[in-house]
Amino acid sequence: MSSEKNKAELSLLKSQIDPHFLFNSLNSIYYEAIEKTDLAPKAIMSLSNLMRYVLTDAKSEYVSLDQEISYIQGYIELQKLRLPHKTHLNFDLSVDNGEVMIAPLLLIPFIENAFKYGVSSSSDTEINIKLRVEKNHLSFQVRNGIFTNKEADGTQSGLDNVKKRLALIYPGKHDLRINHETNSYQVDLSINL
Amino acid sequence: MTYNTRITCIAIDDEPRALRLIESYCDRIPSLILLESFNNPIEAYSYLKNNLPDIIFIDINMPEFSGIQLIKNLEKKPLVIFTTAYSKYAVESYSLEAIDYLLKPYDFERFHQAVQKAKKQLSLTSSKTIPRAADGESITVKVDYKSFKIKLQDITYLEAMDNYVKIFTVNKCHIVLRSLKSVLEELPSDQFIQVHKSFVVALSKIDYFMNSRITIGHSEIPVGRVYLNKFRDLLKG
Repeated sequence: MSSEKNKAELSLLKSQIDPHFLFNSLNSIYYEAIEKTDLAPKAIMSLSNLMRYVLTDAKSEYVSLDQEISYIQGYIELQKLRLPHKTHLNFDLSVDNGEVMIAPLLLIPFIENAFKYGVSSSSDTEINIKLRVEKNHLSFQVRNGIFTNKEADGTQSGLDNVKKRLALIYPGKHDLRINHETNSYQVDLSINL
Repeated sequence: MTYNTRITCIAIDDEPRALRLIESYCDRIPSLILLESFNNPIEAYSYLKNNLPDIIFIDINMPEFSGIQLIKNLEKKPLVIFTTAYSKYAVESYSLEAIDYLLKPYDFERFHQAVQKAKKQLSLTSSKTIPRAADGESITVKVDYKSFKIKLQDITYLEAMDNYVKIFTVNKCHIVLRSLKSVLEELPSDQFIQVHKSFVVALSKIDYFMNSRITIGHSEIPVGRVYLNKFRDLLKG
């Protein structure tokens, strides 16, 4: 009974596609389509893959690391299409075995946050993401600046959901540290998969 | 280039492609002049301290400075058209008396509709008198052996038809036994332009231009291939 309840709760806690990201991406793609550039078909493909993942594949309890990573890469590609050139993004990736299973959509909320708050329209900014998996031990870091005075709309609940999911799926097997300064944000997450 | 009804605007969005989309839409509406576009809302804000365009297209959700904040802080407000990917701000934007609210992605027709709303508002509230062709300016033509005058400011477009020319005004069509070329020679070249071997249009009456066709009210006028580049250059100012 309690495990059924957990399952229901877990599916509710999973992150969805942010409508803001979705419609801004579609607007960028729409422009590329009007201009008939080569970017449009590629971007439509990335967006389809992203949506398929969130709507179907990620409904499973676990996915392979490879699937989760290609989702993250697709997300970053689309963000690059949207953003001004002042944002420098580094994604440092090293995985010894892509077949290892992981609960889906755990990492993306931190990356979404980095794009939400770490992007500026006036100054150059850096977003650094690092993902290492060795012998079933995952370590994940996100570093970004904070350039906003927006109230954290929906972000906090996104983070709370991830914390709850981590506690339910990887109890005693994970460590999450968030260091939130005035103008910088650091996330360090490690999980024994 | 002088237009009879010229409207100025600026666009503000942190996403480069969103701005370019607005730029390409503005290019299709000859009466709408895009003065500046801004990636950075703070730069736009200082521009607006010293300049007052008729319309401002502004994204709501931008880093550092939301579109709503920017509008709230303006002393002199242009007509505001919000553009956003997200509908949760609609209510607040209307309380700021926005003219319209465009949800991304929006197509050209939807954009044009918003511009028409703004135009209507401008003509209602405008204390500025729109410079028009001076009242005396008209062309004299013969119809059925009678001469009469057609005011230049009433003419929307002309169409050649065999040995006749149809002169269209907002609610009439006069058929005159003359060549299109001879009528065109009598019209001021900064207000009337040939866009096709059989068509001349009044620049200020163009609603929009799309896919090599000009729309004036309910009429569509083709732009001939020979005239296309010259016409495009003209639109770009």
